Amino acid sequence: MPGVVTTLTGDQALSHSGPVPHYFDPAVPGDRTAEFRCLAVEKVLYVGQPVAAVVAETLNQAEAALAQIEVDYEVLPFVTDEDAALEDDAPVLFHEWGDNVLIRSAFAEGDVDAAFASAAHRLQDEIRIQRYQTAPMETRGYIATWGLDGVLTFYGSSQNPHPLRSNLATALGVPETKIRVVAARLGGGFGHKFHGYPEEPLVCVLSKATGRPVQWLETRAEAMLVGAREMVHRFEVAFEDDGEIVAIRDRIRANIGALGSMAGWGMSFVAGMAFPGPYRVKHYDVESIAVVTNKAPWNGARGYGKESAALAIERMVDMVAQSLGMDPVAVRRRNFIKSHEFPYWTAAKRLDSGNYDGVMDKVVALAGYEDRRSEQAEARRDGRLLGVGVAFELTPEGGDFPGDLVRGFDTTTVRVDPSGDVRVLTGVTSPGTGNETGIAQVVAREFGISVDKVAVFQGDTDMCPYGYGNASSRSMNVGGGSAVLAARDVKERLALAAGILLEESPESLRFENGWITAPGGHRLSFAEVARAVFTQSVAIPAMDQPQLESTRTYGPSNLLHVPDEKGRVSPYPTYPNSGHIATVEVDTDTGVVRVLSYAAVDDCGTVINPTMVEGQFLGAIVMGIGGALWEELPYADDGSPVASTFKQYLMPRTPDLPEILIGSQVTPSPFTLLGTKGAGEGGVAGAVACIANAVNDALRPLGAKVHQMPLSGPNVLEAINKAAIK
Amino acid sequence: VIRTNLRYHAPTSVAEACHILAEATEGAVLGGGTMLVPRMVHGERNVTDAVHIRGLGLDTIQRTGDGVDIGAGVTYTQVLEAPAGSVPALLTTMARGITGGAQIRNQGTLAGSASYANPSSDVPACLVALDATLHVHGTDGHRALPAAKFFRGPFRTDLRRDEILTRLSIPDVGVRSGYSKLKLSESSWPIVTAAAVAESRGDGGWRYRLGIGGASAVPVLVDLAALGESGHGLALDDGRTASLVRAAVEEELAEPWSDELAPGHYRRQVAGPVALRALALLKKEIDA
Repeated sequence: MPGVVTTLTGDQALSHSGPVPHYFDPAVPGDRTAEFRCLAVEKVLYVGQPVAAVVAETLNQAEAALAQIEVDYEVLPFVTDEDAALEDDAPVLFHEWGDNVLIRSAFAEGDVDAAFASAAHRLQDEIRIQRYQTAPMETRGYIATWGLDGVLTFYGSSQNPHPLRSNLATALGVPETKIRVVAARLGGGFGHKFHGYPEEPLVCVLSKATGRPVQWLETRAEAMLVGAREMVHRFEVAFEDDGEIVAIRDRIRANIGALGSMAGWGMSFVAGMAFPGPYRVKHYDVESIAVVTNKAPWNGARGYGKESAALAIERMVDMVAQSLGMDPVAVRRRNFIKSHEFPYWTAAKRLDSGNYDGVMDKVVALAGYEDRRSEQAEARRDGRLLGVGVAFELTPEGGDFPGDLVRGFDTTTVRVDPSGDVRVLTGVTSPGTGNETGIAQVVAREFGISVDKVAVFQGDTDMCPYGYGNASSRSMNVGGGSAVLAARDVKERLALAAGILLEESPESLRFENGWITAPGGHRLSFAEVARAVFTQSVAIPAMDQPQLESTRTYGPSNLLHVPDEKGRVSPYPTYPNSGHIATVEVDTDTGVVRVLSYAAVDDCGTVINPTMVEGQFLGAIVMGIGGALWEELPYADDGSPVASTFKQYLMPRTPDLPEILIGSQVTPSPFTLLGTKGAGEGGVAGAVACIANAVNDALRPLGAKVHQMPLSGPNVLEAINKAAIK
Repeated sequence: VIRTNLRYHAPTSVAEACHILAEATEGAVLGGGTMLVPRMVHGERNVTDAVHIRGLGLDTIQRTGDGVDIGAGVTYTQVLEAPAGSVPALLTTMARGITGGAQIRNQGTLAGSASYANPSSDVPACLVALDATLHVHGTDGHRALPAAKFFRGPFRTDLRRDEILTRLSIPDVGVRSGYSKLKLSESSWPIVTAAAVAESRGDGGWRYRLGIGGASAVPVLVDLAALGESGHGLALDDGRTASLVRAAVEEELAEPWSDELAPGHYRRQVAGPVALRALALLKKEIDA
């Protein structure tokens, strides 16, 4: 074939790369796992699994050559539905397991049976969440190149360059010191760019084989193979006359596809762990089962299972309200954990701080909740289906998972150059959120210099301290926290030098506006002192700290892995939260939903950069609206994925959205250095739940209810049809 | 990306273009490219010869007595910018609703949409409702096909491999119309389109035609003769007419079109309401 440089099959790849190491191995918390190769050998588990690779001079030559490869597939029994996969006679994906359950995660407190028996009311239902993903604007891309010195340089869109380096060393059998990973700047990570993909070692193997740099770009169709979020909740709620929710039982099944080495399966754990949300529910029993099927594997998706829990919990609260004829805001207030109860323990979380009533007050005011209800009443008189949705989201953030390279702390080096310019080298990376700007701000604040004097370096493993990159909205918390600690070390040395030069005690000096000023007004510029440290140290008596650099590691103090007296742990340290109110109108004839208004208030603790936080919150809300109404990755009956372009996978566009009003409340975390909590994921879960509640509220006059996500025209109309038949 | 060793042709005559298509292993007519280029990029069409028709002088809108000829190169933007009354209002309304931004409206052509014959496109049902004649040229000469005969199936037309759709002839630009389409969201293909047209009978009465697109493999023309009998226009407020329209539409949609965005039974159910919306707009137009 013209332009073809080399080809590789799964068999041939066996001798060049070991299994692709897991992002986090399910065998760490559980007892099952599986190995995945960069190219499948003998058996493929899903349509789209790579079986052979071609390197060519140009992309079109490579694709043309790929199209010429004939693969003899013998079709084996397969299963794509999670319930069918749990049947006794279902085809088993991983023989040694005996069934298709990867892991069961259980979260329980109290005496659920007794609470159900004694409660005044009970209800039960199920809600099904479709498979969808985050659809980052730019897909993945990797370049591998081996130097003459035997060093592999890997450029890639990856959220976690250091752990990726470690895993490449394992897979390729190369000393870790011989690998440099440079993570490109990302427009969007969202978990789609967690590592564990087969193409990571594959590109390295192909570069080695050809002796040339090899580049691979994920097509949109390949990107759309990546699944997430497909779950079903089957739940029961027990509650009292006044709206108090006394007990919850939920059985969650997550259709995680064919597992893979990526980070997706963990979302099934988090979907259970997030219970019972922001509510003081003393008795609950939640089990989440990760079920493997012959769909393409999951990777992380912003929300990471919390959006699943929030949807189920918030539907429960609304159904309780409806059942009692109460206002949904009132039922939430009745059940919120109150400010004075923090820190508040659940089975697997110690909630740090919060003022959920305060957030609710603010969003009720921002949305004009009473006016929205009046509009609704008027619309209903005209026969229009207007719905008002209320939702509250609690978002565990900053997760720490010992046993693998997914940790809740991170490390930063702060260096001051002789010019007085500051370099910050951090182990966290930015998925496009702008955390590098936030980190520069907090370092500049410590030094009393302008933020443009601070340069933040991320993503290059040869330059930055070992870190865990971007995950779980932890970058500002731990990247910023470690940067501040390192900056304080360096500031101490600068103060020592300035004190000698100004003949004042270091403690009396103020660092402000680029100057280091003594109480009497004598001052030196920050740059002058920095230069003096390099040029005068040792020569001037007592100026004996000639180096302006510190590396510090920081993690929040609310990461609790040693079980307390009740056996509880808290792998997540911070708990941002948000309140959401939306109005929607449902077209009775077509089921199509239009979002008319949206208001939301978030509380992510101390805010370093309001613009960035607002941007993340708005983006998250839009992602949630898209997931609630349109986005879906369906499979055909033959097990092949159907959506491969944005004409099949419908993303929200501006004309689909109302103006989104946002507000903020600040309840600092007492367990983080800066008072910050996570900001980045928050908003997805609230938006999904809020839209689902709004649509169901709209359908009430028809006696209809829709629990099949997304709430697309066809799904909503089917619910309307069902109600009409009743 | 485009995998073939693609040859690009810019012929200067229709005959030359047809000849190239006839000779090509896998030829394709390149109009605005809004469908062809993405399909080649995705490897859904492996074209050896792309025949660009921009140089054929087909980008004109020409009045023909009561009617109008719309050349194969005419874009949605050209329709939007055409002087009032020179193209049917239905086409202007339809073109205004083409989303995907100015680049699609500037590049995409009506004839290209017709030739691609995506069941979910706006154009086919409009052509059927307007009683358009489609002129095609091939190495054997010229054929004129009524719109209803041109569309043969999903993504399938009556065009032979050496033929090009050169011109859309619409007999009457003055017809009154109402257009309604249902999309699931802004980026969605139309799920159902309804083009309602009223042609003056000359005696103060109207002859109605209703084209439904998106709901079946090919656009369908719904027989609304019953509505016009009274000669007093559309009485849409009475429930009887509404159910008549719904029934007539549903009857035409025995085999509704299904794809990943919406199943056939959904399309069948919503087609009636969408048709009624188009008729309501038409009525407003007539009453004004």
